[in-house]
Amino acid sequence: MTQAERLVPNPSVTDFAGFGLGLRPAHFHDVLHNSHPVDWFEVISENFFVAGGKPRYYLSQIRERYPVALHGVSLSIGTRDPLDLAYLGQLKALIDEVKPVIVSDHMCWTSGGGHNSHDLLPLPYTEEVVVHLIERINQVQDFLGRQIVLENVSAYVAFQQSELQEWEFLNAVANGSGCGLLLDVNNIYVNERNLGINASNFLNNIEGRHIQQIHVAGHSDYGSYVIDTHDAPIRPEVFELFRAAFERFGPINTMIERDDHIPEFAVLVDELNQLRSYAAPSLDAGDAGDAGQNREQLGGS
Amino acid sequence: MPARIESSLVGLEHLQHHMMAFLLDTAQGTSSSHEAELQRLLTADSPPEGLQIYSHAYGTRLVEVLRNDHEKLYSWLGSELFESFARSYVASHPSTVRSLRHYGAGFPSFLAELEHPKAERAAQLCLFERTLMDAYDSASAPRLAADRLTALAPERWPVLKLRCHPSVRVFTDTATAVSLWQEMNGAPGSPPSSEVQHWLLWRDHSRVCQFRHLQAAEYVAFTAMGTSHLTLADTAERLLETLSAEQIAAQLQQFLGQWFVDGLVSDIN
Ligand SMILES: [Fe+2]
Repeated sequence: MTQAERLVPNPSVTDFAGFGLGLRPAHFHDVLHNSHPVDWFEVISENFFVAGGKPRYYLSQIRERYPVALHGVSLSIGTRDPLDLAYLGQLKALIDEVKPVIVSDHMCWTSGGGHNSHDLLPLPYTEEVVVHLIERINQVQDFLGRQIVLENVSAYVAFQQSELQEWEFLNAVANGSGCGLLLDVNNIYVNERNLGINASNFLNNIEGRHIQQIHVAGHSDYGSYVIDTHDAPIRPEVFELFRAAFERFGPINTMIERDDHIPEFAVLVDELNQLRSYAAPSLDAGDAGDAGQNREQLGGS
Repeated sequence: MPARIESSLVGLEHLQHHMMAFLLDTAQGTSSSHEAELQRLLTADSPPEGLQIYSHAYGTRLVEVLRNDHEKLYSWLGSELFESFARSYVASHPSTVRSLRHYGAGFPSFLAELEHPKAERAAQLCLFERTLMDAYDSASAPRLAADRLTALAPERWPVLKLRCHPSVRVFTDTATAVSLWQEMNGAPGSPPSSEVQHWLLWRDHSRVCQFRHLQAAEYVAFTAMGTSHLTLADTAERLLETLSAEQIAAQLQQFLGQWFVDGLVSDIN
């Protein structure tokens, strides 16, 4: 039995949980006390590597009512440094407590030589790096006792070493390790603008069966390049790319990432409703059922 | 370097070494000798701004973390001075933490060593803000109600020991930084004093951080019972230096009662 076959898929993610938002402290109160149509929430794992207090309290309150996905930013799966077991231990403890529907991070590296960049640095797309990633993902999945989901990142440089297309690289890692993929459509757009990759080619070739979640976000456009800032509303081009992805891959848990210039909760809810409208034709055509109606089923631990 | 090695994991290690060194160099505001090697590894059609986007993000992100974690310090120093102190800290303190929550842990002692007229007060204000952060997200624990104290059998009083709530901290202020914090928070600060002041900080029942000034006797009593886990009898003995023998029993009872009301006590034995 291969590693991939032994892995239990994330509980219930094969069911469509609907449309979610990144949970930000400024919105804790709105999330709990106002009625809203947000189906689930994603939280940054590292923000909850604290012992207690308000952050952990609100997280547990929100988890009682909604499915929660844990999204990490410093696993550094692609570094040549040894795996950080203390970090993984903290992550595992959080997983045990939160019982998330998805545990994700990024297909990138963030640390090297014991230092942290706090950035999602791109990898060269080579066969050797694929093997390196598969080995490390296997170790992480063994340690956590569950599947992890890794996201395509935005990049501002490309490496001469790369011998694979980004989508080929992602497919190869997912096929070899059994990890899931988190498809960030804004990152695909950013890479199209910055590096000249072909976004539709990416969508046509990435293997849909690995995709467990979709991210949509805003970016900053500087003309000759764009930066994945998550500090602005989603641009029309990215909405269109989302429409194409959703149409192609079917109902997949989708959420909006907003990390800076965070507006009122209601503004994000409006944007989420806009996102739903781009997904609606695919949902009406398919047999997906009503997004959000699965909450009870998913919310139970 | 031979092409074969470049495309292997040695190549990955090489790339990661130069990239990290480049980020750390540029955080010091200098150009990096690693940049030329990195440029050589990039494709010709990578955006010319590519590496600068990463180096700019590294420094900016860390300065922003310090600013967000130290709002009062930022307003007291003003953006220019704060930025210059924060930039120097980032330049000399490559991040070794996974969670940005801890990046500024060394900021207070860094500020204390600066040669600047505001250094000492800045360091204390910074440390006070970090102590509040620590109280804010420290572990949760039960809090005993005051009736646990009243129900205590008389023979257990002398050997009574406390275990405090994990959020409880004592902050010693040598630069009237706390009154500065209070003024900036819109409340009248405590009267300026050249003396060292002690403050008790904790997270209350509703998960909000509180702090109050400790007078000399309560400071002695709290450090004895709350910090050093001494018995009530030993604490009373310590108080002999601060209070007259007749005052001690009544004072201690009052302090203990207040500690319970404030929700500082998680357990007794
Ligand atoms: Fe993303």
